[in-house]
Amino acid sequence: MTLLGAEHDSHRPRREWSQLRAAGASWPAALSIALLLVTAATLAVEILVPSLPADSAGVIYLVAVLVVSSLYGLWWGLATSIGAALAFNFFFLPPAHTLVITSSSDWAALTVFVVTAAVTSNLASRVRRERDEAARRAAEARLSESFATLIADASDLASVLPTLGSQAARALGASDGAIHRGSPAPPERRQSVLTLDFNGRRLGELRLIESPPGALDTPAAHRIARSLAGLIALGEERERRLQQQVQAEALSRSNELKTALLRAVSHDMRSPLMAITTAAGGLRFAGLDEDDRELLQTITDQSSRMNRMIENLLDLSKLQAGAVAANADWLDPRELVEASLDEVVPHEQEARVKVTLAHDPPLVRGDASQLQRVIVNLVENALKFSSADSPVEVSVERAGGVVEIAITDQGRGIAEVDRERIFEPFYRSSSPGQVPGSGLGLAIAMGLAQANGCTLSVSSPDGGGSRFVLALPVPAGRRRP
Amino acid sequence: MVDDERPIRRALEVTLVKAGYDVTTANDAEQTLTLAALNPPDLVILDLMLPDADGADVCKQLRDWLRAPILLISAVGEEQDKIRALDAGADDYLTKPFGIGELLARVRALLRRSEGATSGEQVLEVGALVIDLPHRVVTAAGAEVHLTPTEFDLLKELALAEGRPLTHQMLLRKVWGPGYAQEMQLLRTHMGRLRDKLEDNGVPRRSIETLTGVGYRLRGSPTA
Repeated sequence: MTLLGAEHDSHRPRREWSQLRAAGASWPAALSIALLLVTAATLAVEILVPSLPADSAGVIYLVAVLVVSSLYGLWWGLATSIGAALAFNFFFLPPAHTLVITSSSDWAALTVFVVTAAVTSNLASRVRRERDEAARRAAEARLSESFATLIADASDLASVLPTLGSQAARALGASDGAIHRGSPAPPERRQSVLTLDFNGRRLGELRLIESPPGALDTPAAHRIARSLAGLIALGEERERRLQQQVQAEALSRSNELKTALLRAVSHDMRSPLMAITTAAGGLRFAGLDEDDRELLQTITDQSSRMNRMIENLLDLSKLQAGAVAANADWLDPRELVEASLDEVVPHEQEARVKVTLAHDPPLVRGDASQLQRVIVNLVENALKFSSADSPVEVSVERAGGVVEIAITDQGRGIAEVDRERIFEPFYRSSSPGQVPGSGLGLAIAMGLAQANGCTLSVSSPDGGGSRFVLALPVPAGRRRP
Repeated sequence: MVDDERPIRRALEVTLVKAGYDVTTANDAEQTLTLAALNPPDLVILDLMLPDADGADVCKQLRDWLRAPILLISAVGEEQDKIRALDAGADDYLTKPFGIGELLARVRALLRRSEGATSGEQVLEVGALVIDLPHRVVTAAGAEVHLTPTEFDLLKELALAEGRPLTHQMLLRKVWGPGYAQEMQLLRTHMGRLRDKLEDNGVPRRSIETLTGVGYRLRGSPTA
């Protein structure tokens, strides 16, 4: 049904589009019709003359002039009126069968006839032009509509281009045609080319096979090219958006999948660890001796170490999968530091950590859990990479448009060569005296800092030690309640 | 004691029994509600992630008729679920993995509080702080701490819930009103100033514990 309908539609307008072709009527036909009509008018006047005065019967010639000018335009009309005037003079004005006019009234009659004929033929040809123009515009509109329908219904642009090219070519009087996209190539023999531009962008060209001469230089041809180019541009835009939408959906599905997978893995790996920790904890009532308690402590300590490693791996995979969403809220930077220290500093090391908090620093925005992870990792690093009796300083201070949280240790410091790379996952410093660790803490800290719009930098002062600075931007124009 | 993972449930059960408690276990929400109705417990330890229901909903259903404290067990990253469960009436939470020592300490604290109900007291004592509710006066080690009305209300709510977590939304609703539940800026700023004033009077800033992503808790005094 659909196919049948489409075929019907593509046939119907083709007949009408022939009106778009240049109205170059052949001159022999026009001449023959003009001669035939003038002869017929002469015969009619001949029949009427016995009962009517010749001057009145001569009006019959106007009919011939009217018909010719409405069929073939002003110039053929004027030529016919001159021919009619000559015939009338020759056959009916005395002296008959000569082109001589003796009577002044005959002169007047002939002059009136020629003027009337000229005016008539002008009017008739103008009506004809307007009718033709209207028909052409209507046909153009139908052609554009047909293009638009084709493009709108098509699943992809490439599949409708042959039909579009063929319809446009036939409408312009060519036997067939095609639309070529991509870089221009020299046209083949018997082909002429109409470039398709839209807003200065070349979209391709319409190649016409056996097009009539001059058919491409008409305003109608340019209008068709413009409308075709506009619709192709629209089709391209639609395809581009569709593609973007498909890509975005695929990306979002794959991110959802990754997140779901990470959640599942994290749950599956943590549960056995939780069971190990709990079970080991339960043994504290078992009346163990000193050695047994030491073994139990090893189980507990190593379980929690393993838990941290799983935690780190999961965080890193989340960061690399782009599955970290910062849940931003208002935060007091001092709270971040205090909560981090609560979490990471073991009771026996509390004395090592010196905290300096600015008085009433501005609030910042960020994800509390993620920023806390950043500080925890930095403090953990500082405690690990400096000797157990050296202090670790943690400070919060305002510095221009940011609040800086600085963690300074008095360890060996970080060599110039390492400073660039310590934020890479699994990178371990090249210096001797390795401390156990996975090399993930700083990579995660950097990833989470960036996910929250913060910067994280490191420096090693000449006196030794390292200083890590987390800079949290202060939102502009923050009101203080 | 409710947990859907058998090894964890069993380890907790053995440990709690050895610590001298009488333990009944359940592995899903339905069993929990039935067992609690048949034999009302003194304390509920509830895993937030249950196979058949949302932990927060179970809290709410228990809270409708049960006065016993509810201790939640949750995993990392379940802050929103924790907040909903605390809002639904849970009393405290532990984040996995936790040490057995910590669990037993929380259990003892919750049981102690539910036995000696503190409601109706006019003067609250938390560590060095003494909070006189009718006169709205706070002293730290005998010296008066000058607080604004908002700071006093904040401290009062924390002290009334001593040792128990209060979510951000709970504090905002109680101190500022129901329309202020999302005004985190207010809470952070006033909490910062309250801690400044406590610190100036010799009370450590960290007496008020920050529960990241959840809320605050006033640390109980060791002797309480």
